[in-house]
Amino acid sequence: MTDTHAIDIVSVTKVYPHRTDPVVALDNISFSIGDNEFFTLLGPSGCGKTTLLRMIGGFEDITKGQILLFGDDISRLQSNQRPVNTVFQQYALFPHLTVYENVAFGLKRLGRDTDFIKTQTHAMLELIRMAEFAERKPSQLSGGQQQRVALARALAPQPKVLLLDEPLSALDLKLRQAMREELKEIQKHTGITFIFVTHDQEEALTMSDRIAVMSNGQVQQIGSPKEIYDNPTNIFVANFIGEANILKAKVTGPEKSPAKASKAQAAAKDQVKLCVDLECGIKGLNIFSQSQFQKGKQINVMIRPERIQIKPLTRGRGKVNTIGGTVKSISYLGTDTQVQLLLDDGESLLARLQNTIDATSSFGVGNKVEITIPEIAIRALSE
Amino acid sequence: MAGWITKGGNGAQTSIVDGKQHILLMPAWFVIGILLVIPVLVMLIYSFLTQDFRGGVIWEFTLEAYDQFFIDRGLFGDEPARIEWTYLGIFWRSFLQALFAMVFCFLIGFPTAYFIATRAPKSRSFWLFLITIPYWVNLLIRTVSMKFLIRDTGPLNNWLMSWGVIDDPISMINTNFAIQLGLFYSYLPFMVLPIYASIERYNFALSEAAADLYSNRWTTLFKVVIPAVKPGIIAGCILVFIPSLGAFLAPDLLGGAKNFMIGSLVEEQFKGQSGDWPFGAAVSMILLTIIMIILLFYARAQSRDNNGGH
Repeated sequence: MTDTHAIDIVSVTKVYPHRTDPVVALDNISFSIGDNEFFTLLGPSGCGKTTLLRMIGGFEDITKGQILLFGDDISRLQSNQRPVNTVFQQYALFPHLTVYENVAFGLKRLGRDTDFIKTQTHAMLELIRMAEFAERKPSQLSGGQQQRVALARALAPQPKVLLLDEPLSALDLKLRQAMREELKEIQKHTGITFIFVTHDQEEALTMSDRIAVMSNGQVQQIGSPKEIYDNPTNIFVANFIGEANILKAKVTGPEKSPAKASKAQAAAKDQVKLCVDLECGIKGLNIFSQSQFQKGKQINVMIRPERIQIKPLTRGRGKVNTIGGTVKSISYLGTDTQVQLLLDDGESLLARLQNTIDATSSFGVGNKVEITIPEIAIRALSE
Repeated sequence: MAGWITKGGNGAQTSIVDGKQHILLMPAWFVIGILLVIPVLVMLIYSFLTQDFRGGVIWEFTLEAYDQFFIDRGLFGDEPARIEWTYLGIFWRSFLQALFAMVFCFLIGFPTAYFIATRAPKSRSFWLFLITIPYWVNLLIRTVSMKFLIRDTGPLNNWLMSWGVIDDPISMINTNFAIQLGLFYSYLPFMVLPIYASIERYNFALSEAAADLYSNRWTTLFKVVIPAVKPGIIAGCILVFIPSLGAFLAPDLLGGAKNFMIGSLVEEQFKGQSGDWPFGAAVSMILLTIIMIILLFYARAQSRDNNGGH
């Protein structure tokens, strides 16, 4: 990643006009995508991510705002004038052309000379390991092969930015996982900026350099996968990426006894520490927050299920950050076990325990347990 | 028989055809038998019978009708045999007329179909409805009104003169132009509807992909849209070309005597007592054979095309 911006989205708004209720698909959004970046637009369907991608590709008009490609305004260009190529969701391979002709299509339209078209097309077919299928028609290929041809076709004209519109959604799980690796490899190999649209958070987390989480036509948060998972800014992001327990808390003041804070966590930038009391009964926790809150304010805090610890109820006093609860249900998920807990104050809480070799569960449904919530795993949400 | 028009049509039928459910196909066999096979067989047989001079046939086998079509033996049948050009000439003219009608129908029909297929789904049926409205009226009446419209003192000439485009009426009746107009008008929907059906199923993401890969509108149209909807275009062309070839209303009413076409020639043979039934049947069989040969060639080219990728 360098400081050069491949794409700048400048206050872009998209309104679908309608007589009675016009739909705002994108609401004045701005951000930049760096050169050579694998950037993902992530969000539920209808959040505007595909609309934004189609605007970059030139398939949708921009109601207001600008899109810059390496500093040049491309907002008013037709899609055939933009040095940007797209991998379409259902591939949109030309059914009457062979694999070779499909891949060579863009180069021919650009009027490149015959020798170059030949070498470049063969290079692309090699890249996706489809050289021996050059003479096949798309209908004679499997879904995964069609996917790779669509990728080669879009890469062949050497675009400055490659747009990928949920390219893996039509593949089965194994193939999807293999293609993730391959896409990431190809992105590194070609050095082209990839803008990837998906609703699959796992895809986004494993492939991206940075992710923009979108909902309702707005960007909720932009950051690296780790930033977004560990420090979501609001309830939407916390819930959309992975699973999250949202608890209510009351701010009691700034951080108490800072000596206890772990040095590694303190390095997190733009973060402040607050002292809060959880409504479920744990008091005096020092937690990270991205915004400063006044004393006495009611806020939401988040904790990831896998960071909660559960032990059978034991006697003894003075346990730190621990509350009592009952096991409501236990589901075995292979790598983890998911435990639904009912706290003593009536709140429910989700926990995930990793199934290590010696993990024989020491509690069953209906048992009383001790639940420990480590304070460094708690994050205050801004909204 | 429909295999070459709708690819894969056979695939959908196999479960019934291969199974032991012939009873369910009985209505289809009945229709094909009564409406298709038997009439053609009757024609085939009649074309080899002897002419009865009061119309009808005498049940005696002869090749007289085919001889009359192809071979010229002079007025009294005693000269050396030469090729008879009269009827071949009529065939040739009819082919050209049908070909032009097909091309014009395509040039107008394709944009029309494209326009309808790209409207919002709700308004498509309205546009299709508009296209079919004139066809609620009998073809004869429509052709006669066309004649009224383009005659020397008709509205078309009057308008052209009142706008000052022309000074004297153009006589359009009894010209090839009039026949073209009649054929075009009669068969346009047969071009529009199959192309419309193809374009409606066309995946417009392909057009976007073409634009994304630097095609302008024209290259997108010729390199992507037309190849993708080719089956519909071919169906439309066949549906316009073949009835145009045998049409007799438009040539008769709009073309007059000197622009004789196959349809009129056949009609003549079955009209009144002067007709020659075996000759009429023979002309029809020759036409049928030529069309079959064209379609067979097309079907072979098509299957070669489909196997090209293997």
